[in-house]
Amino acid sequence: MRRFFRQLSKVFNKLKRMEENHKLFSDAPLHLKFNVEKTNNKGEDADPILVASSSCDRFFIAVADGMGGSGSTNYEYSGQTKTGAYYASRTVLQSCKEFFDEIFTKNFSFDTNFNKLKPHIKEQLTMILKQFKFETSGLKSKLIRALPTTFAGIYIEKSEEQIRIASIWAGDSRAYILTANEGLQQISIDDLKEDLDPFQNLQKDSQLKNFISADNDFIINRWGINIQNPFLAIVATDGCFGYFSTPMQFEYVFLKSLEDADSIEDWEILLVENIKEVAGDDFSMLTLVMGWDNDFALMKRDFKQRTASLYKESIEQLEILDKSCTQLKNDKERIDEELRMKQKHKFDVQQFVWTEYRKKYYQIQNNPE
Amino acid sequence: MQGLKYTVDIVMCIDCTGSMSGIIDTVKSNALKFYPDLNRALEAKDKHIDTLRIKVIAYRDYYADGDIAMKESTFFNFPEQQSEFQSEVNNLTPTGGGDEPENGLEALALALKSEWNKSGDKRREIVIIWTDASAHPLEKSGKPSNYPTSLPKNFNELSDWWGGDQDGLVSSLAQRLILYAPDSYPWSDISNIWENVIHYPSKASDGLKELDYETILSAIVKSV
Repeated sequence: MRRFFRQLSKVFNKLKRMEENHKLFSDAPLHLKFNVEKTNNKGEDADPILVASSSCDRFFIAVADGMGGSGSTNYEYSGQTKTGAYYASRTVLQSCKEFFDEIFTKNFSFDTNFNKLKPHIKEQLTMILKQFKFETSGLKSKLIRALPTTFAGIYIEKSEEQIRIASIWAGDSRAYILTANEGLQQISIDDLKEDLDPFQNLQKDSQLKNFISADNDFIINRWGINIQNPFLAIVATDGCFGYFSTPMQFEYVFLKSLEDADSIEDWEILLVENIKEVAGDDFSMLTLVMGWDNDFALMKRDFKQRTASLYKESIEQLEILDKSCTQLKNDKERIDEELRMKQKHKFDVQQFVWTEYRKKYYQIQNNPE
Repeated sequence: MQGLKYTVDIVMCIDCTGSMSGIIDTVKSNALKFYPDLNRALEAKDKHIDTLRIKVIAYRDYYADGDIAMKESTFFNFPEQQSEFQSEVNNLTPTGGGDEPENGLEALALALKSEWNKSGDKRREIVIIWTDASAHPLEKSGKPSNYPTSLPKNFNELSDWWGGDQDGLVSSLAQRLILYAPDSYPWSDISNIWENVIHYPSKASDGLKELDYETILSAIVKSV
């Protein structure tokens, strides 16, 4: 039955992708894209966006993750009531789409226009906030913000000589590059209050020092690099990577899903299934395949060695330790239960022995002269 | 592949002075329904907590109430010890306190140095205060003999306890403080200055709207 649904899902995804690609351009690069809600109709991630120039030499991909904790205020808009986090992520990605559509259509430079992106986002958030109906809150808190969201995007510009990439982000949604030789490399820096690396932050879960909102100033970070084909450009919200015990396990799940898939649609389904097993939140991702002549099989073959070495060097020992910790925990629970039962039995025996013993023990008291 | 383990600790500080008589039943009811409401909110978001514990600090006034000025329970494991927690809350009696202010800051300080659960991969450490009164400054002179010696000397030191991430204290990464307290010293200062605080300015949550209560629950649940 599961196999049937997977096949059905594959067909549906393929049709959806064909329709989307047709809208974009006839020669679209392969990409996988998903937005999975933790709870139906309560998702606060927006659908990831892919914007492309008509000549297919410039691309922009992005994700946004509405911040449910800070943005839990409910707003009524166009007859539906949703949280500020829901509206924030969608407004920000819609603003980005408008921005990149314009610079691609008019062939504007990204570099000279980048500083217009933040005011455009801010203006859109302010405008939509004014249209909302909402009940005034009696709460005072720096934690609660109007329309808060994180976002991460990658701008890609191809020329004959090189490929230029700019990652832009606010908060802890991430931009990555994945190559067969170097593996996964983060090209955004999480805007954390504490100075923690991605592994430390999995344990400590720092708050954010910077994110987009309608009622607070924010920074859109930008970082540029040059790169050679082939590579994968990945943008992901924290639901994708933030629930694995280590960053290596996130990369491994990503690559193992690729290894087990026979098409990009299959890869998407497997990846969603594998992330869903651990994710405690909504999760969304867009991965753009740059190079490999848009040939899935060629790309898959190229990553085979990386998947194997990552497993050998990092994952295998972690899995062994995971198993032995689980075994020990189970043993401890079993021993605790045995101890509890043994103590109860000991008490029952004590009670029984005492009941017999007390007959003589109280003999004088019970038979006073 | 295994995911991460979550632990949540909650310390409820309840003003049990005589002036709370009119609203203590509402506060008790709010305290008792907090766990089921939190659970409902967690389930609605399909979030799973591995370990959840709650403890209660009933406070009055060291300057007026002698040995009954501060009563701190142990942490109750939920759901196993829910009935013990219910008994603890149901047995709270509003009495004493003398004049306003009370020892709310001392209760908060004791809450911050609770034996927080440091196991699990991700943690949330939540303190909730219900009071209808302002609080004595920590530096107030003439402390009675039963006044604890291990508390901060002044508000700045207490602020360091909150924000400083010191050993044996609440973690600045895991902390949340929910204040159902009047807009007076020190509660308004705390909500203006400290991070991770949600303040409902009122007499111990009196008049709390459902909307604001849901916002508080969401701020906790969605940050887990």
